[in-house]
Amino acid sequence: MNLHATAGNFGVGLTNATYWASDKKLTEFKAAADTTTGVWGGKLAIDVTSVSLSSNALRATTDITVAFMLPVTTDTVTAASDFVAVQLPYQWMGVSGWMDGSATATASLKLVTTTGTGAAAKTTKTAVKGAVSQISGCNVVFALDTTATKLAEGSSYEFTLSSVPTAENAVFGAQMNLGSLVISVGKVATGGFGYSSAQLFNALASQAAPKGKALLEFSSTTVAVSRGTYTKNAVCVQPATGNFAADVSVSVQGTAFKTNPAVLSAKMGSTKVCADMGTSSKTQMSTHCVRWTVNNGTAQYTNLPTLMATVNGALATVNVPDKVTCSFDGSSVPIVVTSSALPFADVTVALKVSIAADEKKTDNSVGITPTAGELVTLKVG
Amino acid sequence: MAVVGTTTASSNEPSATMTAVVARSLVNVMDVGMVSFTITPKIADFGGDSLAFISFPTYYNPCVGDMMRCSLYDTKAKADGERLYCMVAWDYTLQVMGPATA
Repeated sequence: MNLHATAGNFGVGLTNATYWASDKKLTEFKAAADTTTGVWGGKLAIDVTSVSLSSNALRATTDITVAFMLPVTTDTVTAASDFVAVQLPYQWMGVSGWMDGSATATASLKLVTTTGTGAAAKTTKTAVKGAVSQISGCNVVFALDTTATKLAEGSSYEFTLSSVPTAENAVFGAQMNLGSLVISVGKVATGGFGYSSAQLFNALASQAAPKGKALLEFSSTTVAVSRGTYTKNAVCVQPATGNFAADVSVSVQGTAFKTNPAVLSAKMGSTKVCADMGTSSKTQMSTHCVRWTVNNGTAQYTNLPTLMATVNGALATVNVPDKVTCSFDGSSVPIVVTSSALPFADVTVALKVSIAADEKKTDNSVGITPTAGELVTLKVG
Repeated sequence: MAVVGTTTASSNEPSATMTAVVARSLVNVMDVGMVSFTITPKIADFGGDSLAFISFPTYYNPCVGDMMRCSLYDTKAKADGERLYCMVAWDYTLQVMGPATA
């Protein structure tokens, strides 16, 4: 947020996805006051001496180690800091697993002390007790334990963020050297006071596919799925460039989303492989992170990125003929049942007699006797 | 969602019956933190088909935050509950999708 002396208002509106899609209107709204002002807390850039990553491979994991020294400020504002926060650069495009809660962040902090000089210099690293207290797609806040000795100005530290999923997007991964990683310190009660400046330490390395592997991509990283049905050819998998250099098969993880066929298999030399994708009629109308497993071809290809599937409530139609031609004294009437989309779960259709709502209760089905228990089932396969 | 000329007492509310209270852990400019909204809907439960739109005061960033994590807060367990998908619908306005069940 920006510096401000007067707190403003939030506006909180509620609606439902169907009403919003058709009318763009809210059903309820309330303004709510923000709590307080926001002030500038930074005094002097944190002295970051190095940033290193254990891996620079796309769609892998890496340990980020930041060595820094807290400079002495004129008013000792960063003394006794009790949190360390890291913000990943924009080019990382965040960690979707942190955002949707399917992954957690692990961090550690060490106090680095050096005694002696020259050949006699001895460096000791002492763990500072704490835990990750806040996390978002690209931010991690590590709060010191109440029993831990708080950060001191003039002291050196090593902060490690472990097993961080690396960037998934090849274009932005290649631009990681242009990104600004930010490390900050402060006090949980009174806010952040020290921030790093990316211009003052080494740039991150660009991230690319691991050596010997090529990137596997979706033709589109976002899909729209109507719940309760399969969306035709919703998802297509292809190499980032050229044709498949090996037989490859992939499948969706979890049970919320399914593809038809269940496994997407591409032969070497083919350009891409596509499948229908569907989800249950009970799935919430939201955007879901859908993750994939590469079953075959892992020696040649990377993992797939996270697919963002937006589920809508559009309904499909089951079609039955509104009239049939009968033969007098015939034994059966063929009736064709179709649907506008492949159902996610089996849909059964039964024929029943039709009695008009008029006073005479006219039997519209006179002469026709539906066979008891005879059902038409619309299903995958 | 224009909230022009509104106050907490009166605004262009389609229904003024719900309640909303804000708390935040952000203190200083550039801080990373949490803003919590305690909302009591009156017309319908906040469920799988629901949407919430939250407009932020303009001293926040137009993009509100980067890769935000939104979740329901479990008041009994005093911990984050179900994660909710959220995104910036337009400048200063966050769109939050409803949970799997109300």
